[in-house]
Amino acid sequence: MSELNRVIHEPARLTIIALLSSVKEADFLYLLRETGLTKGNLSTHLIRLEEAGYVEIEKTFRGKIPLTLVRLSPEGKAAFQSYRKSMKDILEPSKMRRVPVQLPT
Amino acid sequence: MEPLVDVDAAALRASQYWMEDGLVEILLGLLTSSQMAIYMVAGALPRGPLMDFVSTFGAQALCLAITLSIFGGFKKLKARITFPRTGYVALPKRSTKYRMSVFLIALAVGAVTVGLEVFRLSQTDWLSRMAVPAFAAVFAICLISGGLQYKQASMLWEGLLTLLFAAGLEGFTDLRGIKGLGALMIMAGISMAIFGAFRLRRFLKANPKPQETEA
Repeated sequence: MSELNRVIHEPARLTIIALLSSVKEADFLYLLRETGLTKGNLSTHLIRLEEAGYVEIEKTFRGKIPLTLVRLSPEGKAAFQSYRKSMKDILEPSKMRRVPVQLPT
Repeated sequence: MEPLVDVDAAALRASQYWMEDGLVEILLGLLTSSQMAIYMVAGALPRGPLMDFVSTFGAQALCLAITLSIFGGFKKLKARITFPRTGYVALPKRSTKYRMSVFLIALAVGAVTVGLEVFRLSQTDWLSRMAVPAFAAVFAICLISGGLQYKQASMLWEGLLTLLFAAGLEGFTDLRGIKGLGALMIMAGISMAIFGAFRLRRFLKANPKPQETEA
């Protein structure tokens, strides 16, 4: 059976990764609204993903307002693809091969 | 246990996000109606070699200027209205296939623009009769397929309204050719902008600008 990536498998982090996989980059506010997590929770999950090397976090400013941009790293993209493949392998019903049996007469 | 995350829905969500404030509809509606209004005004100008030249190139230049300012304004409005309220998201670079489709559509729009000019100058009878229904069908197909792809009910309504406008113009008015086409696109553009304005109003009500933002 395929090994599941425990970092990505956690539902909140999977949501973050899934959201980031479809965009070039997103800010903290977008992720906060789309995931429905609290600020603290989202920060914790983002740090965990950053430590694993799956996301890149860039802290900058839009005018005077702090802006945290998050994007999926190439490692994150590869890990997410691999995770999806593993899930597909697990969930796909096993193909039973029918072997013809010669019954005794 | 399988986590309850719909990965495909997350991808669709990013595309829908760009349309949820109604700015796309407002600006596309304004673009369509203003361009057609320019062509109609150009068509109503007195004829003559010099006036034809001025109206043709003047109309093209004005249309181009409006298109460029609307696209420039779109980004500024997004940064001013949407991003501080619901966050910033940048869509990924599109695939070659997608960019090729956009190029072909732009080519088709260019061909239609040139066709309109030829049409305006020649006023051929059969072209004149076909213009409104044919253009309405193409426009409605684009809107309805976009509405189905991005799950946007308002685009389906806009497609339906375009067909109704075309039927109304064909059945109840004598507007044919460039005038009929212009009237149709102005009505379709204004209705699109109105739908967008309602959507923007809902968006602003639902998402008041935060005083202090950690963006």
